[in-house]
Amino acid sequence: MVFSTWLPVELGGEVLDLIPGAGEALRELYASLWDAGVDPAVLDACRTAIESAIGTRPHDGARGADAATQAAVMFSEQYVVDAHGVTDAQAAGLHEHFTDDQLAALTTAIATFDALARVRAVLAAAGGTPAMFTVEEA
Amino acid sequence: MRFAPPPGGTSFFDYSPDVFRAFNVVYGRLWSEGSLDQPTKEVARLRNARAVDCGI
Repeated sequence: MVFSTWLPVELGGEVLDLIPGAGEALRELYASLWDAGVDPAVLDACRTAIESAIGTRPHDGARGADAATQAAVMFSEQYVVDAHGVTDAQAAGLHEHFTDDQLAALTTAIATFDALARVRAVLAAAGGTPAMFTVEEA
Repeated sequence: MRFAPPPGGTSFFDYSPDVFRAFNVVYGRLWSEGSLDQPTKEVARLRNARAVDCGI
C-alpha cells in the first residue's frame, strides 16, 4: 500500500523497515489470521467496517450479510469505538455463530485490523513523502 | 468471565495458538527492535492502557 507520510523515510521506502523484523512478523501474523478457521468473507467484512469506522475507507454497511457476519461486524465496530461497551447480548450472539477457537482468531484479527488502520491514519500526511506500508498484499 | 481459557491455557487466545504465537512475535519485535528506547515504549503502553481503561 502506498501512502504519504510525515515520517522521515526515503521516497518509496518501506515504513515497516524502520523496525527490524517487525514487517516480516506482522505479515506472518496477518497471513495467519486468514488460515485460522474463520470465514474470510467475515474477516473481510470486519476489516472494511473497522477501516470505515476509523475513517480510512468509505463503507456502506453490512446490509444483506448473514447473521454471523452481522454479529462479527457489530463486534468490530464496538471494539473500535469502546471495547468495554461490548454487551453480554453481543457476546452471547457471537457464541451462537462462532466456536471458541474462531472467536479467539476473530478477536485477534479485529485487533490487528484496528491497529493497522490506526497506525496508517496517524502516520499519513497529505503532501508527505510517498512511502510503502506493506502488509496485506505481501 | 465471558470467555474462559481452554484447559491448560492462561488466556482465551490459547484457543488459537498459531495466531497467538504470531502475535507474540510481532509484540516482541516491537519491544526489542527499533530506535525508540524501552522506557519510552512503556510510557506509551501505560498511557494507551489508561486511555482505554485496560487493567494490564
